[in-house]
Amino acid sequence: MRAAAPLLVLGLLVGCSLPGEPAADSAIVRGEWAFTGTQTAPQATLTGSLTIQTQTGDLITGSAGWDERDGFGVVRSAGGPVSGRVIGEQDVDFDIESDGVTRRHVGRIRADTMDGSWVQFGDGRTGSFRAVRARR
Amino acid sequence: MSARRAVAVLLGAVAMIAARAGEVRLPTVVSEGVPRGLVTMIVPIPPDLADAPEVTFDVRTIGGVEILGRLRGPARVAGSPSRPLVLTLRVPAGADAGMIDVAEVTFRGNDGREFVVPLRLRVTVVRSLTVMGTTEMRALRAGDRLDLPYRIVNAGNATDTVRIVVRGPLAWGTRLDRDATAIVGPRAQLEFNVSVGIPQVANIGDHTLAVSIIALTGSEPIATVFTTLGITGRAGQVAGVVMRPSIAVASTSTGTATYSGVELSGPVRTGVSVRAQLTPAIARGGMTSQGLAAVGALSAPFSASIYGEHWDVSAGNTSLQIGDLSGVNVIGRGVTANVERPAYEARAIVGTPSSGSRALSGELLGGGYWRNTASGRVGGSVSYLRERGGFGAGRELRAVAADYRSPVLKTFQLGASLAHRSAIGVQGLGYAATISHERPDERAVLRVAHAPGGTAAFARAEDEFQFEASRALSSRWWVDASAQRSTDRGTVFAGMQARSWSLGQRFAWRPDVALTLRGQSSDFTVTSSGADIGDFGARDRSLIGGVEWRRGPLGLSAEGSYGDMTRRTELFSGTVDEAVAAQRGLRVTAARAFERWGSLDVNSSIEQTGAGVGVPGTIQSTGARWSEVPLGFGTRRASLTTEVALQRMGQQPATLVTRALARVALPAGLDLTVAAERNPFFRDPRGRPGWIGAVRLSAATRVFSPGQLGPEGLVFEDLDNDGRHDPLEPGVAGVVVRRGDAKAVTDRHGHYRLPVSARGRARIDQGSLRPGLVAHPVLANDQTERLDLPVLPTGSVLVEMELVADESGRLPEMSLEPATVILRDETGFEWVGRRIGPDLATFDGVPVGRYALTFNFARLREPLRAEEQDVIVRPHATTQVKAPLRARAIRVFTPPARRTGGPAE
Repeated sequence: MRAAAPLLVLGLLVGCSLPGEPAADSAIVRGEWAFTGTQTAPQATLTGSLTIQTQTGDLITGSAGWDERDGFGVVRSAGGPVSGRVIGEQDVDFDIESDGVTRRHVGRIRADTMDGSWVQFGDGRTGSFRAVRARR
Repeated sequence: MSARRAVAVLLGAVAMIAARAGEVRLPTVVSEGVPRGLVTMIVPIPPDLADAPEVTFDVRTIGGVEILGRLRGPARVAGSPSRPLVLTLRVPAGADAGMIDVAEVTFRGNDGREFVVPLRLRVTVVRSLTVMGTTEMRALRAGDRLDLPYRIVNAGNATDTVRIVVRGPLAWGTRLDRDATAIVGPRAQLEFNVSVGIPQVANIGDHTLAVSIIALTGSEPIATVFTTLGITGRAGQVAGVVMRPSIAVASTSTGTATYSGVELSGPVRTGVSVRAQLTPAIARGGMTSQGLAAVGALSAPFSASIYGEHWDVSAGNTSLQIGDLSGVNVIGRGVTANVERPAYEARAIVGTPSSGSRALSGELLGGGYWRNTASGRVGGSVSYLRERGGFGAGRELRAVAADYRSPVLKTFQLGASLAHRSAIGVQGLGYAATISHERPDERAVLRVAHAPGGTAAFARAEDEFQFEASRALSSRWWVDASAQRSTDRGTVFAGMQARSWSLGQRFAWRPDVALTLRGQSSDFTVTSSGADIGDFGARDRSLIGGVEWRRGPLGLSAEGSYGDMTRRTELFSGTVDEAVAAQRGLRVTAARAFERWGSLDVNSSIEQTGAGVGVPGTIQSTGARWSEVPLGFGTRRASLTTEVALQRMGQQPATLVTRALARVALPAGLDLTVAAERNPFFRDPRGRPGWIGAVRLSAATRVFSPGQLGPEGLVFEDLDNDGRHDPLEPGVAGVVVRRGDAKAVTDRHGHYRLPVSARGRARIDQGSLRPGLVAHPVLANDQTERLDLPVLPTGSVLVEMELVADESGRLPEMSLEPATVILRDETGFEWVGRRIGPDLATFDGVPVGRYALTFNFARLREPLRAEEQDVIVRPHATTQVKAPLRARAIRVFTPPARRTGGPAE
């Protein structure tokens, strides 16, 4: 039993992710992403950046900031903290909180691009988004 | 006084002196009392009369002091013991604080000897100050300037010196027409005016101006009068169109952006106003646009409106809600019109869709008409809305709708709408029904709606169910409940369902303490319209309990929550991932409004979430916001708002957002806004959070008056102080001149024109004059409509006080700090100097002219003498004056010798 103990510890270390590291089977999304999107009804375009600062296991945190150009051509800047998760190697699901409301983004990861949709809780605004990796 | 009476008084005085030649004056007896109070004074029989068998007394009052009881008679009879004489005095109601002579008691022995005991009263200081003034002004408008009269009333018996402090709403200009330090004598009044400048951006509603008096040595107000200023801003009450140009610049680590825009607003005639804005779109976004937005420099394409009390017509970029079933969120370029009168309501739009950055095509045509009758509101609407070229298939709707809303039947009201809706791939009947019930202690609303096509067809959703109810179970206990459900589909999602409910109560345990408890749940599911993204959804449930405490300007609240969070996501592989985690949190907030220092809000929260749902295990947030802190000295011409927010999410480094915003009301109607921000959520191209700085300067000037303009007037610098305009006296630019309801600003030569309809005395807005100028005092007494208005240049005076020896060579040792330095002009108006050192006083902004320099030494330890001297104040110059102060000669009395002798000097 004594001889098996180091092996058990080693096995645990190998089998578990180290704290502060991405899960072994998750896509690594940490880094800077150029963020664009659209909003329907009323229409608007979104342009900004997404920064994933930490990726621990499947948990990701970071920040996002973008400009919304609405139907009148008025540009409004918004931004806030990001938190969510990477599920496996292809799916990403994160929230951006801005001005007290939360937008949930669900997307697919293909190489250095995330494509997906978002919905804003509360007022039902929806749209699509694309994030292209700018820097790891 | 007649000659006969003067002779009589003189003879009486001579007789008195002669009669008193043989009397002996003894030390004074002193007592203390308050005005209107009774004072008992004990006067011992002089020891020198101890051997006199009989003693009589005689009380002679001075200055009208009332002494109760016998004023003369035997003080001691033969064989009786020697007892002191007890007198009761009533202190005069009007007695000033300090020592007053009240009487003399003469004791006479039967051997002819006389002794006189003077009686003096030390009247206690009674302080009673209040400030009175206008308590309410209504029907004011943004941009108004007004002078409000106030009065300090000193009902006490001592001279008091106070500071006048005026506090107005944020960024309002307030100015005193006198020095803030006021000296008010006993039982005297002092009148002053406060000039108030209401900013053009002031909100409609009631605002409060507080005028307080504060002791020089204190910080809490002695008295305050609150003036409610009601701004209606209704059309027809402003006489002119005001142009507000503004420029702004924002500088960040990503670059610099500028902004310029013009707004026009105001009435063109009674009941009809215009509003227009031309603020070109800002090319840059990101941090620079955030900085510009922080100072209020928001870009928007051209739009213009003309409106009355019951109608408006807008052109340019415009939007309209035609009806729930016939089109909401209709946004485009074109013309809209609304009419809303008690009898009917109508609205219409003609335009094309607008998306800002993308070219859209299509048509926006629609309108409706509803009439209010005794049997309810009846009407209908029609629309043809087509939006092409945007994201996805665009929006479309062709609809005809009929609406009915019943009158209130006891406590109920019913509403119903029916519409035929046709959109892309959708055609069907839409309906909406509402039933509401309302009583003072309860309210309930139920609404259902079905709009085929949903948001893709200019509706809020395809199906909606809403229920809200609240009821007061007692005077201290309220309950409320709500439930919503909606389904929709659009260009992004094939289906979207949202459900939520809430049930809560609020119990006022005590007048200042309330307990709250609420259970709530929200759930949504979206169905993807394409293969790229799967379906996903979420559910949040929580139970929240809280306590609120509020007393006066201080409020505290704490709230704890416990619940769970569920996240459902259909993965690319087709499997559905569902994660559930417990969630709990605690939030504490505190808010305090200060009378003079704005308001402070502080909040702190911690939220813990279990693993697996994509939320960091612990999120901590702390924030503080200090709003509308007035800057300046006693007035509120500038304000500062600062904000700090710190957040830490799991292992991520903490983020700190800091913001500061200052608003300054400058002369001549200029407003300056300065903002600075550091926000890690806005990053430069290198990903670094940077500082954002922005400045905005705006002005307001009247560009059109509905009435014909009258003759040209002039505001000029009256260099020779004669009140008349001489050829070499220059005009003054940027000065606001008001006459009645009208206002004009002088051009660069000092010229102005007011509407001919304006009546009354022309007034110069003191707040618009640049430093170094004041309105000529002659304007305050004008009874005529003067066209050329003089302003006086001002100068400064520095007074240095110096103690010098008196005639006997004595140099008093004392602090001159309590002495008050006064400049008195030829009309008797007094300026009080501001002390800048133990023996220095300065006068800033005193109109040019000749003044007499005087002093008030009442608060000094020892009275001093100063020779009155003239001071000449010259334009924009500082006059230095040296004032020698001498001690008064001291009289020395030699104590009376036994039986003989008198006072010797």
